[in-house]
Amino acid sequence: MRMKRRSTTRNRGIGLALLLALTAVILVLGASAVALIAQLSQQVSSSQRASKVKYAAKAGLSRALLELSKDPHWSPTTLVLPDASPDSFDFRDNSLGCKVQVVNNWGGAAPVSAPDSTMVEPGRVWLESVGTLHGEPLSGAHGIAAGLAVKPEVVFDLAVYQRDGIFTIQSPSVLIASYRSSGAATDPKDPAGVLESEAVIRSEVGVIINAASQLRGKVQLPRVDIPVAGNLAGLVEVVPDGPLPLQFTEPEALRSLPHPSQYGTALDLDPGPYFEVKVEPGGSLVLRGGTYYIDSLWVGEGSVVELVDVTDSNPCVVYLGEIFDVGPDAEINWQRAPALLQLYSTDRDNWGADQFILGNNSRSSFVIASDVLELALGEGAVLYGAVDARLVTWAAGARLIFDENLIGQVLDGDPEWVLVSETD
Amino acid sequence: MKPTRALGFSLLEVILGGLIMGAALTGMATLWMTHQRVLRESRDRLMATFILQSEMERCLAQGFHSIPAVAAEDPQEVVTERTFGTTRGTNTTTTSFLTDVFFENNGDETMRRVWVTVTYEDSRHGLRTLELETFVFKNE
Repeated sequence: MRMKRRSTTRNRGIGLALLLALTAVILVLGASAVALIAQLSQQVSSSQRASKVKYAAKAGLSRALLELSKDPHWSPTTLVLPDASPDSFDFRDNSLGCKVQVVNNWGGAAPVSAPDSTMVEPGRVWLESVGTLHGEPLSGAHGIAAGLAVKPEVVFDLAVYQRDGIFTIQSPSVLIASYRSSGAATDPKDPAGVLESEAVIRSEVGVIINAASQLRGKVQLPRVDIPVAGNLAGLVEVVPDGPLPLQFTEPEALRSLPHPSQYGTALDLDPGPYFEVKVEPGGSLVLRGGTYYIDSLWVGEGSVVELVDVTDSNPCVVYLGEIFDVGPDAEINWQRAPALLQLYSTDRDNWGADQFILGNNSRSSFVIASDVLELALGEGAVLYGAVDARLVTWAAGARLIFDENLIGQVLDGDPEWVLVSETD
Repeated sequence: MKPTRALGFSLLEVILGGLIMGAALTGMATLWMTHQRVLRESRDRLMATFILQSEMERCLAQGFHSIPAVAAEDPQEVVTERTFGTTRGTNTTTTSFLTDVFFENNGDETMRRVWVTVTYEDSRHGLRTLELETFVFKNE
């Protein structure tokens, strides 16, 4: 029998060839593993870098707020950090930085468009901060924010500005007129005050005033086709743009402090935050020059609220959170100039409305404002000053006497800047 | 009839094969150990980054005025534990992360620089510290 020697010879070295093939497979697997390891390591480093750059971008927003707090009209083309500013910091890690873009519409009258097509409302500032590493912007690590003054500048050029609904006086014997505060330590009012005809009321949608009531002044409307009813012939003027929106928030400096409550017949409160303040009927409350936050303030029947240590440059500013209820026959800052007591409602619970009441025959002297304020004047209630509110209601015999000294006077020009929205 | 001597592997094949296979297996074993080490390091770095972010967010959420109180707290320790299943039972390893918060004020105390550190033991580098920093404006 012949052996197939040729075939046997051909099998020589096949083991080595197989082994080499197997080794090649192992090496390919090994190389893949090395690539995976390198990729994983790179991903972790990249995640760490992204995190650093994200907070660098946030630092840029904070720095922009600092600049806005110094100058609300601050509007650089681009702010690049680090900039070795003596008022701020540089990053500890000198590879980090950020670039901030600003669209400042603080003093604007109409919305403007930001680079990302966001419409920036008047009184707001659009900010975009991009974190950088070694000067290179990193994608996916940026912040976009809008700035808002929680204490915007307030100007009371109008006796009453009703921001929502038809301005309506259905009750009889309501009077809206004006006077000029004396500027002296005391500000004599009825009967010494002489009433003038410079009171201007404004509504965006319409005005109805009962014929038995009286407006000594003008009606201001945004357009000529807005309906007006009542004995107002010759009193209408058209001014397209009304005052800027007025939103208030409890100042941050007070927000972080304890908010005690105070109840009693003779209260004397230093400026600061309070939760509930209740003056019992016939009692008294003394407030001073400075800033208060009071969540709920009740002034009992016949009580008196007085101001001490107040000046034009150091008025008493009260942010009200939820309730302001003045009882019948109470007196608030009576015989003093209205601008010395400034009340701003904050709508703490975001209900969209703060309902404040001036009781029957109460006598008050203050200015009050907020987009969310609903103010009710009781029968015979008298208010010297000005009102900027969402809605005002009038009972019979109520009187609002506008202080002409308020015209053109900027109250509270110390805005705080906060981020009202922020995205990464 | 001649014996079939040529069938099977030659000594040379066995020696060469053994050497190559040995080298390949040694390489794979080294790679496997490196992989394990890098995996653990990556996991620890990811965890450290996560802890850093959480601590920074806590500082920012508390606000400007509370930052000194947060910084005054003792360093926080976070211990992570990982368990691996093997044919001979389970193997558990732990890593301890120590976080700390620092801050400084600018001249008129309207802004604070806040930085958070996390320190942990790395098998290759020894004690390792990662850091995140940002600025916080007074009204935030």
